[in-house]
Amino acid sequence: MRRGLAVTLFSVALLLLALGAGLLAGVKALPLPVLLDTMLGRGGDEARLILLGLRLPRVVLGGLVGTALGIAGGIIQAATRNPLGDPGLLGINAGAGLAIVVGLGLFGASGMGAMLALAASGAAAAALAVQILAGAVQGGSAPLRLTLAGVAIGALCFGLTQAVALADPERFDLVRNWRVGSLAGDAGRILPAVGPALVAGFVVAGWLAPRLNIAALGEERAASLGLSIGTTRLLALAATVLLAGAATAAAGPIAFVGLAAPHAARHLVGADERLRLLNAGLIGAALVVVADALGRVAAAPAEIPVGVVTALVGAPFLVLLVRARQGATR
Amino acid sequence: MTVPEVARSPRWFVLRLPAERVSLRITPRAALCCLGLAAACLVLAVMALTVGTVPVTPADAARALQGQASADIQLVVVQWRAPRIAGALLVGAALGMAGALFQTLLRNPLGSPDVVGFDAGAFGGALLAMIAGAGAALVACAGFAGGLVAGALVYGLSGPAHGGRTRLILTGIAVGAFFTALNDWVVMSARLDTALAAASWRLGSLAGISGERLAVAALLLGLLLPLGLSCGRDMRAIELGDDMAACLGVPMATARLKLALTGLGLTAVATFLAGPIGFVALIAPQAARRLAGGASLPLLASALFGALFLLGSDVAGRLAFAPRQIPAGALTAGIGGLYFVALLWSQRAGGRPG
Repeated sequence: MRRGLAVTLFSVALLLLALGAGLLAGVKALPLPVLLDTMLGRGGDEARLILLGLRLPRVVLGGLVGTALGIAGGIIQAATRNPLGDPGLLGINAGAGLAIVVGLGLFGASGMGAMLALAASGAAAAALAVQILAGAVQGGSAPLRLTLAGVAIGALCFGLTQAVALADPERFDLVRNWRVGSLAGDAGRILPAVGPALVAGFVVAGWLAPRLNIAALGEERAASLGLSIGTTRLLALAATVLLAGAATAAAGPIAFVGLAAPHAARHLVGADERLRLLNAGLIGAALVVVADALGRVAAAPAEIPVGVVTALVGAPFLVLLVRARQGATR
Repeated sequence: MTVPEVARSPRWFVLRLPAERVSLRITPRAALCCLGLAAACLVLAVMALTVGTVPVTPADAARALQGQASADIQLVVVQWRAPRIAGALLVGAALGMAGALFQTLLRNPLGSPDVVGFDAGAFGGALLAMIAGAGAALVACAGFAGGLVAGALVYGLSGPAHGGRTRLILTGIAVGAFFTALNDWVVMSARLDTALAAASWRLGSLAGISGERLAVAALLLGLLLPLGLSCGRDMRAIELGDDMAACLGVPMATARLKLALTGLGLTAVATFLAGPIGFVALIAPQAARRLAGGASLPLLASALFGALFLLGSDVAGRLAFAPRQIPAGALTAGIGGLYFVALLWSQRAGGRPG
């Protein structure tokens, strides 16, 4: 337990560093003293506007999205016992994106509330479809089946999304931002809308975490210890859908954070799912905030969307992971 | 992943040219299938020439192709529709054949160049060359180089060849995601006019294929498609496995390299012409094998099926929401995703394989 505490403190420190970097990075360079002054309420008007009005909401949103993705990925990995679990790889983000595009484009839905409902239902539908498909398939290792099912469902959703979006140029303009995840939206408006769903997701995840520890023993043993497998699966699905759906509604599809964060956390804390999910959330938040800051600085004054940065960093991570699991994924 | 079908004692005939430079064993079913597919391509091409927002009668279209129709029909048929149809047929054939080559090489129906990221790499190379303002031939070469880089990365990173093909495919998915993100970044940071041109290309579109590009691609494919067809014997050897092939005296390393380079070349030219078009390379060989019978992937039938599939998708994308157009790549992704789902579903427990 002492190690868990130390690791959690480390993750918190990491997140704080990331938040600081996220606040400092940008087209307008602000030195650290200005940042501290402004945070203490003593800065000039311009610095106040940039920091508190623009960067702080964005960094907070990025942090929340990253937390949600990290925890969602951790839950998927634990519940499906698939080391390659990630909302992006499993086509869940694509499902949310399709639902949003269809709702926005075909049925004229508008507002963050509708968007959130659409994203969550799309994510749920895609998650279910991938699970059913992968569960039904025979042969091949479980991670491969899930990943392939995710690629298949993701491609289907992508094709449909494109078809719906491109059938009408106005619609295309409306939804083209959903192709790549980005935090450039109006964070102040998005935060209150997705906040409740995220909080609900975190609560379900907290409730679920101890059950995942028992489920890790295998279905039969877990059942003999009195764990209801069905309820656990349902809770895992609910948490994943809430978290991944809300994150996608807030920032669009961001892949690989849900893959990398839980693995890093597992590496640090070991097998306890409670600590692992907590740290996965913290690390995921740090990842997204740093990726967003990098995207703002690297091509300034243009912005690279955070989804592109996470894919650039995350894809090599997937390669490493696949290599490291040499024997197991065969 | 699919259970190979047992050959049903096919009655075959052998085509043998003097000096045995070329000798083929042909089953009537495969020959019939190729003829049928070619005929279907022809019918669809004629249909594609005539239907659309400006309807043209087949007779007018024929006259236009001979240069004897009125100016506006000439414009629609010769300038707009004919290059697009030719492009669809060429790209589809190249992708179908590349799919058959790679699926045999990797011995997995999912080992097609689009799933393992080769087309994303090829597109990255072509994109960079285009943004740098290179000519059509150089863009095609850059596409090939990009495909090579992606191929080398997938091969190098997935470790030793015996480490399991699962690993290779997962590595390929990762490499593909990496290059897709890189391409997105390049498109986004390019100047607006370049970015707009690249944006529709990125989705895999056959609209607005320029004559110059078509000529370069036709020239390259004129070399690559026959080269691909000549890989048939190497493919049969690879299917037998390393040991058996070595016993038969086939140099495996050379055969593999030939298949890989030809497949990459075909993928690169297709991507150069129409952008990354997904799932044609995945579907065409599997569908062609079911049509043509036999246990291995037929090269010619795969190419013909790819051409038919892509032309059909393009025509459908042109007509479905007319006057709006949907890029063929979006349609093939949708149809391909559906097929992919069906392919996985057909392997479910208790389901009939194949």
